[in-house]
Amino acid sequence: MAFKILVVDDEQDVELLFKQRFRKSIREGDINIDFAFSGEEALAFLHQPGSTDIALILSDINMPGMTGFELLEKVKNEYPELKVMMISAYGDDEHTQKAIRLGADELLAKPIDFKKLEEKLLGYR
Amino acid sequence: MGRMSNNRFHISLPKLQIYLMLFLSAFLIQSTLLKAQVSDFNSWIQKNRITNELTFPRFQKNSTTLSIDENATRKKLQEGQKEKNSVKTMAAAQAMGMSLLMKNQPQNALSYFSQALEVAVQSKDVKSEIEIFAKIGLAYRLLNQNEKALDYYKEAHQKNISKTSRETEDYLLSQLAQVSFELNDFKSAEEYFSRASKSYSAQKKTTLAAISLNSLGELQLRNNDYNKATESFKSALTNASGSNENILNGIIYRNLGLVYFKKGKFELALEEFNKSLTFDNQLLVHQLTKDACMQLFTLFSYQNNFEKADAFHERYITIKESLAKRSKVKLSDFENKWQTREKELVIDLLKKQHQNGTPADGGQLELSQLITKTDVELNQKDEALEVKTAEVEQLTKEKAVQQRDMARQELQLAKQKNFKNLLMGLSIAALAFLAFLYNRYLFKKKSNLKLQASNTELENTLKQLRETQDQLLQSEKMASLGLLTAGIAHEIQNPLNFVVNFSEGTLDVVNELLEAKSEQEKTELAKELNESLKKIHHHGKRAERIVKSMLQHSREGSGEKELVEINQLVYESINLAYHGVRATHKDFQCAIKEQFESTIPPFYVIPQDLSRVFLNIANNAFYALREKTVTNPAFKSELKITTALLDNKVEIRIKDNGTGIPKEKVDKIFQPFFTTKPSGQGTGLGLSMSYDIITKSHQGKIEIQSIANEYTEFIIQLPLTTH
Repeated sequence: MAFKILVVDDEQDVELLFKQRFRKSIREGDINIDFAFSGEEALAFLHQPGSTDIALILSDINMPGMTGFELLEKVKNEYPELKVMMISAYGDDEHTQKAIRLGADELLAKPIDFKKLEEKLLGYR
Repeated sequence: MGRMSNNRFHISLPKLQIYLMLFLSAFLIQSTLLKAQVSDFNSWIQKNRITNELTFPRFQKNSTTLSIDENATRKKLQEGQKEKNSVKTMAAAQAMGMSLLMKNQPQNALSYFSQALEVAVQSKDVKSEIEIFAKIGLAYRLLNQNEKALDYYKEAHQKNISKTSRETEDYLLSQLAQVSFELNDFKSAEEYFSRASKSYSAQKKTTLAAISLNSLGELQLRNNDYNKATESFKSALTNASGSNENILNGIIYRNLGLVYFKKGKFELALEEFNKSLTFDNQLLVHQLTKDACMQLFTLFSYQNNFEKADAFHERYITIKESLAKRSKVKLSDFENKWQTREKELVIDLLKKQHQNGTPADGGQLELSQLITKTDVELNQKDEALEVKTAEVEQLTKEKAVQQRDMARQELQLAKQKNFKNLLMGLSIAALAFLAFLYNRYLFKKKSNLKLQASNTELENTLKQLRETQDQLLQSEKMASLGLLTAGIAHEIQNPLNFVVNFSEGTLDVVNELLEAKSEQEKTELAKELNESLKKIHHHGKRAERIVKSMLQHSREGSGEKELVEINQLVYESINLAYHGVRATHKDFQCAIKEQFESTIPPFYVIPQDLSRVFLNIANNAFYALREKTVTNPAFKSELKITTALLDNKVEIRIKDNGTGIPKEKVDKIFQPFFTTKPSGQGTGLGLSMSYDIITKSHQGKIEIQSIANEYTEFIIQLPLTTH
């Protein structure tokens, strides 16, 4: 069964990027990606019936409106089992520790290393 | 008074008025214009421009110099009415009216003019009608009823103007221009001045042409239409150059300098001011020169060109000191001189006209001669004054000489007496003299020493002040720069993420493309390739822009104005500030709402300086927003940026819904070293620098509106400078 991910980022180009970088895994049915372009949109998506099969959220931190950290708190509150990885341009200790404290599994610094990310995702499966 | 001379009087007066009014109006208009446009200079113009006094020929109430035999004229009027002699009636009524105008009784004059007008209308004498309209207009101007004056001048001008003389027509044009100007109808005023100047140029009346061209230029300068203004002043100069009108030449060069000044080209302005001073030693021009030097000092200081800056500062101080010396003695005297001159001019001219009864064909010549004459007289009086100041200094010296002489006389007297007496006299006189000399020596030494000491002290203080100021300016720049670099390093990661990953992904696509078998597969892969290359380019450009705007902020700019898209500059500066704040305050979030007017054409600004202004304002806004978030975590920060196109101007509003500024502090916000931030967090120079950049280098306006705990809004207006 495909590993279902929800990517949350305010930059629309991430959709094309993820689809391109994970083209093989997507084509072969290993990974399935949905996109939300804000924290609010991500929550609404999770609240839909039938979205319970999402196994991981990949979320940017700096977003207008609800920030990635706020989203993280809410998600962990409602779905404690759901894996969440944060992505940020600020890969420093302070950010990492805050992310972990709020329940994230990991913080990825930009630019994202897609090869490593793909290995990790396939490992989760 | 015989009929002939009465008639001549009637003919010559309007012409006389024409020259008189034109000459005076040149000064009147320019002083009002300057007042209206150069708000920065307002106060000293009012203090120093004595031409303010020249608002209108003001005649003393009981002046008899110009009076005609009113009783005889009244009799003539009655006779004319009885005999139904329209020419006689009109002439007498107009002569009475003019006489009353001269005595500053315009209300009474009006009743005579309306009598004359009635007769003119009845006898269908259009030429007289026009002239009477013009006189009625003049009366209303003296009554300060410019709207009515305008109506009459317009009425006169709309009549069949070919029936009247060219002089009257030109006179009406210049009056229409002047009244329109006073009524703030600048568009019409410009139109009328332009027509008047064309007419004078065509008739080779160069002085009058120069005067109206100068007025035209001043109007255009007032509208910030620098190109047109330069053109007008230059053709005014061509017209005035052959004349002996030193004052006029001086004024036009000064105005040309003023154009450059307003354009921020201070060095060019200085050149014109220097030329102006060779014609006319105007206090105003010295002050403008002083201001230009100050501007250049600031400008070069900003550019860290201290050698040049110092040179201009020295010049500034020299002029300031000499002005201070001058102004004490001369200001009130200057005023008197102008008033005397005005009176002399009016009286001389009118006397001449009245006595000789010569038509005013030579009026222009006479006037220019008179101007030159009074010029000479004024210069003489000027010199006399300088002599007087020198005299005061001389007086102390003379006193010393006198006392010395007295001592000598005593000595002589003593000589004539006996030896004893002589000895005594000698010793007394010598002692007295010596004591006096010694006393003076001591006094002089003491005061010299005192002066020297306070001079050195002042110089040191000034030097210290300037050094501190330079250091502070530098640290202000460094502080905001430090904040920015941190933000930018992170901000650049976002586009870089796309560039790195899309390019890597592209390699995979290329490999697949090489292995692809079906045409359809190939086409799809090629499409994808195309798309991701576009993305790489897009985000590469994005990164470039970020780096550029940082460099723009840190670099010492050329200080030259450049053609700039204001929306982009505002956006980039504020975005930069936002990321700067976010670098140090990671949780800070703010919704930035832009409402940009897309039709604003690019215009000339100094981008580095202006960007610093927006950065400063945004930094302050973010600071206030963060403060508010601390006390109220649920608070949603918002920064609203609006640009708009107004007449000849661009307006930029930056509004935050942060802590706001209490009323008592709003007024001080642009003062140097004023800060509401806790000590150590702000230099208090950001906004004062911004104020200088907007008002001085860009001739714009900056305003602040704020309600404590609700909002702060900065409103900036910049002229749409086209060069």
